[in-house]
Amino acid sequence: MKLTFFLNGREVTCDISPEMTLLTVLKELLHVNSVKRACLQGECGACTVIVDGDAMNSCLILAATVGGKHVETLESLGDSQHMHPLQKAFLDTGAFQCGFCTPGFIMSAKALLDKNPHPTEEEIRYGLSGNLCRCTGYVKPLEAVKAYVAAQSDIKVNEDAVQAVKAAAEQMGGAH
Amino acid sequence: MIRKGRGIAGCLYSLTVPNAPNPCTANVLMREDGSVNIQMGIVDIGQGAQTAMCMMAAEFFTIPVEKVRIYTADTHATPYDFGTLSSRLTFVGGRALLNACQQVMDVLKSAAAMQLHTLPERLYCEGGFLKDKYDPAKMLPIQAAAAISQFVCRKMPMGQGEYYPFNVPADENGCGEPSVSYYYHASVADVEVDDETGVVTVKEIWSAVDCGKAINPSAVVGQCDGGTLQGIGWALGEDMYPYCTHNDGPAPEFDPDFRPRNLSDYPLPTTMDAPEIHSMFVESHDGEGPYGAKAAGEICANTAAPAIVNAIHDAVGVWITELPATPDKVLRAIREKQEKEGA
Ligand code: FES
Ligand code: FES
Repeated sequence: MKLTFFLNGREVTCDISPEMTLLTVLKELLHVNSVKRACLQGECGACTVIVDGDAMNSCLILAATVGGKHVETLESLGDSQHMHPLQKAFLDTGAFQCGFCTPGFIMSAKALLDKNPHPTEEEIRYGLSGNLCRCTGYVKPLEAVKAYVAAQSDIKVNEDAVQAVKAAAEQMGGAH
Repeated sequence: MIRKGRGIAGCLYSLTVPNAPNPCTANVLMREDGSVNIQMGIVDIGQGAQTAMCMMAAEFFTIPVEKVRIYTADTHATPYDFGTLSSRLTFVGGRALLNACQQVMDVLKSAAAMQLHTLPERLYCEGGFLKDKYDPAKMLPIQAAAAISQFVCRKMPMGQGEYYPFNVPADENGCGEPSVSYYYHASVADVEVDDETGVVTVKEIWSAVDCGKAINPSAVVGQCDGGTLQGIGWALGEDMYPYCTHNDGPAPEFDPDFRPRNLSDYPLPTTMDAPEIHSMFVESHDGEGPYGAKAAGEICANTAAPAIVNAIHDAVGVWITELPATPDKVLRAIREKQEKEGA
């Protein structure tokens, strides 16, 4: 059967058989390398992708159900030349050892942060609890997400400052 | 009632394969643009061996680490290595690598000495330049030395290094020198034990490794974090026993359909279970190791579980002698103790 959906913003069409999971389609038909195949049981989160804004285990989704939906993988964020700040945060913190879990972690974090840009520690832990990691003890991945959140709110503060300066300038302009 | 306890544990670990010759070999080549290619048989399974090798080579040639490329684990193209085990890669691989780098450096120095009209012995390497110790005016970029040796002196800046760690196999009394060096680790765990349910929670854990010189400090801390959480998992939940034992049989035999089969039957700690882990390394200098480095891998998983068991004893006064310390075992031990005291 034919399946059409949006992969990282681009429309793709492929020929699938009905029992294929989204993971199989992404990895084998579309050669998306960031999605990892591990437990195939929905336990580890290495295959996490974002479907219409929700982080999901692609090994549990039948590909046929994503017709017309938006699927995001790590490739949508950036590559080594143009990194998304979230990827940069993971790199700067050194939030991986073997890196097998990392794409899943970043996608889960992205889904969480898209919905809730200022999560608390507890919310971050809950948001990432579907991703298993054997190497890092979760210390640095959590640190990376926290660093990203802190950096984003810094930028926001600066934007506020810019707004304030603009407003002040306008007022002064008005006074002249 | 929640009872608090604190436990401590330490261990030592050999960082080469005890009682076995476990050589490693490395090929190193400097190209005419000053970039370095390394070929080694080592296998990086995520512990960071490749990065450590690149960092050591960059340090040796005083060039940025981005200029070092490593190609590993391909019997078609890379020289022999014994394997990723016994925490040996940084140590044994690093020594083999530095031996090869030294050969490259010798070639570069003689080319540079020819160009600068000086002696190779007077040259040293700093900031990507070969400089004359006694004449600051004489210096040559390292890539120029590589190009000159390759195209003018007709000598490739290549080296083949090997390293056999020293050990003395144990004699019939069990005496010998199993490993050339050892590294150390210690953990302190703070736990809470609910003496009505037997549930053990690790509140905080400190973990410190003596890794010699930390080649890649961030990765050392990462190894320490990860090993500690593995240790906590083994102490409190993870259970894998692939053998069936017969009460009368002599030895346990492999059970072909043992559990766990997959992660659903094997409770790995998640972000929700992970306590606050404080990892640190204590640097020392190992006379034999590359740049004084020892190792930082496997050992970090060793002391969390005994520290937790000690902390449980501190909290409720019972010894758990079989891991994992699941609530049923802890509760049974507490009940037994109470009965004994009551009697
Ligand atoms: S492979 Fe999908 S959750 Fe493990
Ligand atoms: S970095 Fe290896 S599993 Fe997470």
